[in-house]
Amino acid sequence: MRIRTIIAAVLLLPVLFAWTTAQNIDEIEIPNLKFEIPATEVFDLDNGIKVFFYEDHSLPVVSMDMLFKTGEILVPAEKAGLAELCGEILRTGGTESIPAEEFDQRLDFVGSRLSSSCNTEAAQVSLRTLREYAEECFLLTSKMLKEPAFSQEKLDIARENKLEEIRRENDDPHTIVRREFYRMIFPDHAYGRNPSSETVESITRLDLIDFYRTTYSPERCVIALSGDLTRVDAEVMMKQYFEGWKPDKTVEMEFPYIEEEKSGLFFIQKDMNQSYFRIGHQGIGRANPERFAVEVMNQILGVGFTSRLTSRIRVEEGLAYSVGSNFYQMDSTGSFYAYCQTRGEKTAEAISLMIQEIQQLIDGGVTAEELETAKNSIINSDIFNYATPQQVAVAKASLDFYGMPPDGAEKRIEKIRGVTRKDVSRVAKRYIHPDQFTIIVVGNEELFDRPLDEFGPVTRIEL
Amino acid sequence: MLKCKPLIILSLMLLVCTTGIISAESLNLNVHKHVLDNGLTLLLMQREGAPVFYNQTIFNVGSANEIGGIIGAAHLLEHMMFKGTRDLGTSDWKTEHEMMVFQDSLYGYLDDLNRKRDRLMLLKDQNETEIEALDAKIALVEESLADVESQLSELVVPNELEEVYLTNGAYGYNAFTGYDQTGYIVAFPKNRMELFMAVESARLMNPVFREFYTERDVVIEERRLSVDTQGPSKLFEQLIATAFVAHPYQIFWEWKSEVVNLTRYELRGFFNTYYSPSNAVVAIVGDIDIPETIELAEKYFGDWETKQQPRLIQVDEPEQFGERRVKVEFDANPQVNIAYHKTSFDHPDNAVFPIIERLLSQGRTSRFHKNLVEGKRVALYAETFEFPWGELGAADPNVLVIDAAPKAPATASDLEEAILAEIEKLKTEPVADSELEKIKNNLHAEFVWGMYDGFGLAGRLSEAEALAGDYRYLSAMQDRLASVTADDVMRVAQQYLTEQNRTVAILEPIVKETTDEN
Repeated sequence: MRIRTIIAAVLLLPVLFAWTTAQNIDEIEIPNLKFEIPATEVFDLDNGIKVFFYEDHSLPVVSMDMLFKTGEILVPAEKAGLAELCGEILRTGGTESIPAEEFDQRLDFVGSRLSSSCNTEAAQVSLRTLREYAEECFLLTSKMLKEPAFSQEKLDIARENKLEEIRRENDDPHTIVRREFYRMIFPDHAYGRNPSSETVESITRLDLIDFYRTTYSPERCVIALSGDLTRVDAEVMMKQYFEGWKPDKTVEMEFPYIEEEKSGLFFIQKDMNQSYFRIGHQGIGRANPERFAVEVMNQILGVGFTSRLTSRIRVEEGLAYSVGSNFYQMDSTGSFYAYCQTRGEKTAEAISLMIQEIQQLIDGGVTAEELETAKNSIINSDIFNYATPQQVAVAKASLDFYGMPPDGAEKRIEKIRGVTRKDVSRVAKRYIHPDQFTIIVVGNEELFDRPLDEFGPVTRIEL
Repeated sequence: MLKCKPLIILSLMLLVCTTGIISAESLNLNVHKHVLDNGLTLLLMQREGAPVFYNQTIFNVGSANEIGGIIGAAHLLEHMMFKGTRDLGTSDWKTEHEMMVFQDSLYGYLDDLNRKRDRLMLLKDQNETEIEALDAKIALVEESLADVESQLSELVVPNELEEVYLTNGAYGYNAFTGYDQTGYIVAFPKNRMELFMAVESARLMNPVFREFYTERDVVIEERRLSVDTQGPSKLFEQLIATAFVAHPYQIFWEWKSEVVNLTRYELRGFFNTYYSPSNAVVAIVGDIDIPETIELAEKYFGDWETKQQPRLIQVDEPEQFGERRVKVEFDANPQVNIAYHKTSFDHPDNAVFPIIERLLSQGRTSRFHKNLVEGKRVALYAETFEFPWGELGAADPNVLVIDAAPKAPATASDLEEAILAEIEKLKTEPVADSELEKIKNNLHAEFVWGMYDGFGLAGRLSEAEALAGDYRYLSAMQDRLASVTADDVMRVAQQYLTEQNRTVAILEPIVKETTDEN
């Protein structure tokens, strides 16, 4: 052993001497950079659709994203999965005048991508195409929206696929942790619900048609459009293809009352050498005026290498590859969670360290340096939210879609800049409650370092 | 399908019109290549858009350069490159360095003791006294280690490198270890160019491998997360280990037992061999001033000493004589993986494989989707790709992989049969002109879209330069893809997609014991 030490020392010394170019990075001059979020053109269609257009001719491509206010939130529990299937079959089920196969062929042949999806409280239709096929693609998209066929055959296939996906849900521990977490913090609510084989089997073609007709509304739609079109062409094309589409009636967007979460520790036994876990509870909605302070607070707690959770769990202790926290914001509420995966033998240690770090943030607040790092990191990298033409268009359209003012993005940066240590402490105390934590653990209890009941009563969930 | 004909003709005419606007050649014209005296290659591309720049730096080394005993070195080294320099990350580099050497020797001793103990434990009853004595020694070493490590942690300034980058607006700061290449990526607002050059050169030229032993644990956790707990990865690992018997591509992910024994000293050796400016390509794309960027690169990377060129991998995968099959039992639903040996990136047949991959599985009109997911309804999904991954091809002959999941009531063998029927069709029926035309239109669209995102572009440029020695390989490849014919597809399918050349891996669910009380 001694021999090895000496060799190592001898070999490393020359490297030490070879090092001459010490650069003091504090002395490097950072030139001023004035960045303004680019402006978009905005125009309205006669049916209420608002278009946000960003002109860019650097490449012969066109991108379009349509956002709709609809989603699983409007679906009764016994039809869980209807929104997702509707979003899918809107795209795959053909139109009244174009059979599904031809529809696919026309898009695929020219290398254009059109996709459609519908999640909990928003639906999206996305198009990526070369400029020369843009009109053809707008035509297909408008046919899809105006006269979708929802082919029975495509529904049958999609339903079969969904059933197979449900059968496979427990194959991946990530899926189990996520599903169980939302099921516990949003009991009996669309936010926490998952389609089952019964609900999927019950979904009929008429359900799809009814859901589409009553919830996909142009009045609740915004379009983000960018690329190689002139402003005039863009407006003419949008009007030509997306005006004149009017649904018979539209149901109101309602947010059902959210029951209190089920806190405690929920354990799922699975034979794995690593434990996956998630700790948290309900969070804040998108419109919460304190969201800026929450963003800074969460940045310090669990985003990136410099965050407290990553520093402690990964960098100092070597307990995990992936660790962090998130304040996921939805329309009326949201979720807060910290997550990690660690070797079975360190499960309790890792959970308790995570809770300890969270508690310390609540009790002790943050340092001035931490606050500066977090704020600078958010502010200085904000430019990358507008790095491609379509990002610009989507950013502007999203503000409108979520009911924010047009200068919401600039305001956000101002607000972030104004966040103080006091604000961070206040929101940490207000929005994180360790005594109400829901903890989901998937792993092999035979390996655990300590029993998990130190974190509260353990409820076992059988898969 | 016939209804589409008029559109097809229209599209083709349009395609002809546009090739003049965005051709492979027009990309070449915009790239500025500059090689420093020490051999470092810069690929710079100025383009309009947001005031930012994207960087990807490629070293021509990957896990295929590891030999037994240091498997995982390329990957762990990639992690260590984030630990800072002699300036960044420490309050006293000299003392820290001395402590690290001491720590290494203690760890080496501890590893030896633990290995000895493992052996003695095999005959536990007969070795009780020896084990007891060893345990006492181990406790002593661990105590000294804890002492050293607490002193080290006093000296380390954790994450100082990250902090400098993040506060300056770094975006997408990350790295990856491939089989042929290792890549480092980051983007900055344009006014941070000099800061980027200063910090990036320091950490690439003179990294300090601090926090080595905790990071070794992190890399093992990454394996547990990405492979051990994921059925599809476990299956894929066995597919690859079975398909290759000699070439280092056979190791999908470093084995835990290898990483656990890696030393800082071995990593330094790996670094000294492969991290030479002559073995690296720095691509920067965005709102940049080219002469100024070159000047800064000269200033900060110019002193980087050229190291002797590493030797190339010289293992030829021996010819396969007959189908190989492997089974993985795991707590997951059935899955099918099939691999066929194929050519390296520079072989004339290699351009045919991207065409075959897209024929089989790109989009809803692909053969797998139409016939397996729909049609026969035997698959949940069926995908085709190459391993090692990468649209540019691999340095050495690699494999074409089909990954598919059966949809009940279809079984894995039903699905395998259906996949093989599609493969047979490639050998017996020529691809229709319109189908081949569709693929080529898609390849053209992909090429154009490939320039949309700054990271994607910096990535492709640096990877092509490192792989082929010339970034213009990107456009040459486009030309080769465009010239593939229906005959080529049939010939290549007949030659490579054979039973003899095939490896099949099947994931079968573990049959759970049911305790039925009734």
